[in-house]
Amino acid sequence: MAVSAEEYAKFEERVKRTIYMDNLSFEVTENVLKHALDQFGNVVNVQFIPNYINAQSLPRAALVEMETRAQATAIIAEMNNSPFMIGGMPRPARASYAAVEMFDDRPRKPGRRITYQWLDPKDPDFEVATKIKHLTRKHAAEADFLLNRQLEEEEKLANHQAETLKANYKKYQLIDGVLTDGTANKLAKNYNMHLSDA
Amino acid sequence: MPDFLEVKEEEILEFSWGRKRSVGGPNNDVQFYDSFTYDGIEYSLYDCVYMWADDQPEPYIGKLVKIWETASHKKKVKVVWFLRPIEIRHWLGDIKLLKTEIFLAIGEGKGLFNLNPLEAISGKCNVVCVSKDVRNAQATEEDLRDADYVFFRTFDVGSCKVSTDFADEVAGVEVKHYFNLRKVRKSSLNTELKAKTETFGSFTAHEVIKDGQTGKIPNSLAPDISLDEQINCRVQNGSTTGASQFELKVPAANLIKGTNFPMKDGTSIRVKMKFSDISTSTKVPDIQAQKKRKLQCSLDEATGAKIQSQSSGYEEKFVNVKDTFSNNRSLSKGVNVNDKIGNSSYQLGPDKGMKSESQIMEVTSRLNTDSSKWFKLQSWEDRMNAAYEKGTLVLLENLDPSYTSAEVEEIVSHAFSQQVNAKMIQHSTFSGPNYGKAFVIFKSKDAADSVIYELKRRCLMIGDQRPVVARRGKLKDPHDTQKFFGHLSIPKVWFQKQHEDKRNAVSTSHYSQRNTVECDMAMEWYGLYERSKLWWEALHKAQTKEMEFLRNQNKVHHLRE
Repeated sequence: MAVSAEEYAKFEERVKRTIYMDNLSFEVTENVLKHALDQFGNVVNVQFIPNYINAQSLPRAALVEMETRAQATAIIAEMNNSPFMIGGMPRPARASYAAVEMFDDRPRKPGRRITYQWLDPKDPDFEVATKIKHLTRKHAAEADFLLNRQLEEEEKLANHQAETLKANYKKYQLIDGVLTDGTANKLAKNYNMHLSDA
Repeated sequence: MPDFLEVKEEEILEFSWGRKRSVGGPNNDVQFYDSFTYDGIEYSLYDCVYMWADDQPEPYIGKLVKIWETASHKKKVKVVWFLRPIEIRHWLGDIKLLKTEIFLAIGEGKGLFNLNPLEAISGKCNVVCVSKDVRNAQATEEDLRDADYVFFRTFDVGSCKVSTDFADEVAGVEVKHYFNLRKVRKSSLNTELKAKTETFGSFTAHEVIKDGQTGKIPNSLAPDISLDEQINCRVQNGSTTGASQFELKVPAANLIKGTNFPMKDGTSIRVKMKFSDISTSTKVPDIQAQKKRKLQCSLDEATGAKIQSQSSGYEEKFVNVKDTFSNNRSLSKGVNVNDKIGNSSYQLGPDKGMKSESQIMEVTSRLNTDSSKWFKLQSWEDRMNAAYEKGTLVLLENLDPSYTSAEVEEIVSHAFSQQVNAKMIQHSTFSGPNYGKAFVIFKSKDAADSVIYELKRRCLMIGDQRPVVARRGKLKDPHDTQKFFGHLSIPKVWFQKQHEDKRNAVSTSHYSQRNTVECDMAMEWYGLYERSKLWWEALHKAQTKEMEFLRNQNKVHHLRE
């Protein structure tokens, strides 16, 4: 099916006004995302990018099409500047420009010709081609490894922050308790201090 | 739905409503209809229609059992499906099929019916019921001649059982609407049926079907014998092995036939053929591939016109269970590769580039890709899971990341002569910039295996020196739970106490304020994001370098020659 250059240009326009949102939790639905970004512009369309092969705990990613390129640019700039929380905290969502390869429904590039060639074991290029095949596998394994490391780091940070938060929470709870059961007042009297009604 | 809107923009086809029916829906804002006209064709309730799906090589067939317009002016139809044998081949066992037989979906579950946008309809389909059920008006010879498909059996989508019995209701619709409408005289159909009399010019062919000893096609008809089969019948004076046989009597010699081949775009091509050699009575077992191919060639020769059985929407298939459906489709060049999949080796079309002299071939577009892009019966994920279980899922790696799914399908179709469904994996944060991957669903495990084997043994170089790597498709582990790290929660009690007044103001999204614990923690995340970006950049850079080194080796080697 031939795609006219015009159609393709139209698609490229769509790519330009689309934001790639990453680090979304699984709680974030299409609606949540739409409302989150509707504050800053008009969301035309939201599409999640399915994750078929990578680890389950990989955060979700989505393509959010805005009405204009200007809106997309503004949102991306703002989100790079201050952390934006969607459906939870403190891990911020991240925004960047979408790329053509992220679109499932991308039209084929007009005028492209694809050629192919079979190489037999006796072909002089066969050896190098086989090496490239091995390299491809090696690279895929490397990427897998790095991705797992990445997820480990994320888990580590999350656990660390949970600890910190718990400690902070305990501290606040302690202060709260001291204030409500009158201990603070007693102490203030003891030391002859004035306790303001904080 | 977004895709659906798109299509609306692209093609606005002529449409008008016909007879109104009742008004319904929760707010009485849904208008039901009895008929409508779409793209110049009038459709009525209980008509059978073709519905195109992008990812299917053939259209789905269904019966309209409800037509309505919603309050928001969306046109909808409820369609009860007919299933093609290949869709339920798994449960068919070795039962014999009629050539154009399809199965009515019954029972409860997925695949019984769908509510679809009316625009998904791509044409009318003439489905004739040949059931012996007393409630069914028996089909006349004329009916059968005009039939695109016939059915007399049902397939229960819940229990996955094939049956010849019809319940009183199917998908909430009285069964009489599934049977033939008119009451006509019953034909005398017993063990030997006179199925059809066809008249082509001066030529009359009587066809008699004998009920085989297996009894698996009780008193059934095989109407609508296509032209090619008749020729095949005559060409072949074969042995009598099949359970059901076609007996063809040809009285006349040296005749000229004119037949109209209906094409999808509404035009028709007149085909004239000449036969000289005629035997009076032939018995034919199953239709075989070569014969079909022969026919296509002769058609081409005779007319100079290219007739694509597929584009006519009238592709005739005798699906023998042993036979492979997957190869049964004509490729763009009209060459059928009907090898039996039973012996696991696969063959390529005679003019395809497997002869291995490393010639460079070009992948051209298939003709048959104009199907609607937005109508889906089953999600890709479901089909992929099913394919994974069957072993027909293959992951192709080292593709150009900018290829589209359709282009991958074409590549496989050209290089392996396999019709497949493919999906490029969408790029996301950690996808390598140089590697495109695609999932491909093959029609059978043997086909998938042979492709993996072939890609291991030899190298398929695509475009700019990219050898394709294939491995069995593996999906992410479903037992692995979905975890998202980094969203923390504070115990509820405290939260309520502190923020009682603010609770209503809490929305699902916000920017963090500076000088809060939250913001500090968010900054830690930003730190991690940045570090991770560096890791990945370093990895991709190193990988690109390694790859370039190898590619250059190839070039150097070429220079030396």
